[in-house]
Amino acid sequence: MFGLDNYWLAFLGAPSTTTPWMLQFGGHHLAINLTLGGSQASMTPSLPAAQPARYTFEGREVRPLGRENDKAFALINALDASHQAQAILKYRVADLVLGPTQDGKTIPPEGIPATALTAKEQEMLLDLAHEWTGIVTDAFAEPRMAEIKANLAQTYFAWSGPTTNGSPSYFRIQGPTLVIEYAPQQGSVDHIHTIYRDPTNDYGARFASK
Amino acid sequence: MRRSSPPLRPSGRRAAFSVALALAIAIAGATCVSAHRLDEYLQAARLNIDPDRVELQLDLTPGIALADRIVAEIDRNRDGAISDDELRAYAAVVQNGITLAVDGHQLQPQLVEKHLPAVGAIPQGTGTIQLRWVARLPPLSAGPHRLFYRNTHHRDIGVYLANVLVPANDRVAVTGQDRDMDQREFTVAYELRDAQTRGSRGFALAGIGGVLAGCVFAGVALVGGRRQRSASC
Repeated sequence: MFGLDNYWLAFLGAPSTTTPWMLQFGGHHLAINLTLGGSQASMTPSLPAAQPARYTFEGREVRPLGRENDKAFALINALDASHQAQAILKYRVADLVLGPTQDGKTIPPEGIPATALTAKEQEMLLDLAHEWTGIVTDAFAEPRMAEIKANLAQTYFAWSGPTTNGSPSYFRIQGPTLVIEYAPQQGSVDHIHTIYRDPTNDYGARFASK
Repeated sequence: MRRSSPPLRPSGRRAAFSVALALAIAIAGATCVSAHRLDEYLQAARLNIDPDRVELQLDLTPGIALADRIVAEIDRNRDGAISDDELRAYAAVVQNGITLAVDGHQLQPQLVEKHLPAVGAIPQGTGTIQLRWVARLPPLSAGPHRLFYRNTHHRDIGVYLANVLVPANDRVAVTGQDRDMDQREFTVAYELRDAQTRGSRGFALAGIGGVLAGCVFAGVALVGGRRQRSASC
């Protein structure tokens, strides 16, 4: 399952600056679905994941999902006790809930609403979401972030697991146009799956199907 | 003389893209189907509540170290292939470990769909067996109700997810969720509205979900029996 032979690049439709087309890149621990249609783009659903989640390459330590992990732990630890109690689910989450094959499905949000967070905590939440939205260039990421910010009043942050960084903890950010899940596998911090969705625009549904 | 195809007009291009997109979704559905788990049996349940019925979809993914054991449980005649009857019999075994009840009244789910992953996926820990049941609900009055779900199938090796989907029918509204620590037990509190007094929530999501589901259906139809590219995560 590892190695260059297990990754694929696919073009769906004819690349164009005006009409929709799609670039699909994926393999082990990676699935990127980038739909482009003129000035519009959607990078959902995508599944950035990692195993190992920490390794050394040419003398440098590499953590493919390190910023995502650290920003999430910073956020949960920034919450006061009562807000942590709201955010932390009372059950274990063993895997992604809205992972592959779950297109078009929506679950009721859980956790703490962003409206209960302080302005600084809301900024931390948006900064955490940007780790996924910012995979694409700023030209596409900025309107996406503006949309997520506009929906902040209906956005939730949920956590499952210990709050000490280095623990295998799950979290979810969910709003009307956003689902991000981060799910350590089998209790390991070295094997992480994440999913990034826009329930209203997966595969560019908003602009590609018109 | 061979005629060249006329250039696609924008609408034609869009139509072509829609076909490609449907294929992409079908392929993506086969991509990263699940984790390559090792010694756990992931059992992910999704409940969908309608005014008169409940749908239960259960995705079962045995880890690599458990693949032989689970396949042996399904392949009862040990011929190395899983027949329709064997899968149906296994679904019945799974169902024996499941409790589904509304307001304390036990429901009788009927298996309506079963799906085996591609050959070779289960031994790699990436194959998901998909089962879907539907249970009719007794006549329920408008007001609050509680749906209870419990899964004890393979408690020794099972890890569980239990979730409810946002109901497509606007007469049903989920008002609360309660799980035990391991998600073996799950209670959904929901409100059932009268048909006459239902609100107009106008969920665009349901429509988009329908479009996506349609694309998937079209994609699956187009792909037909062709072997789908699969990857793992």
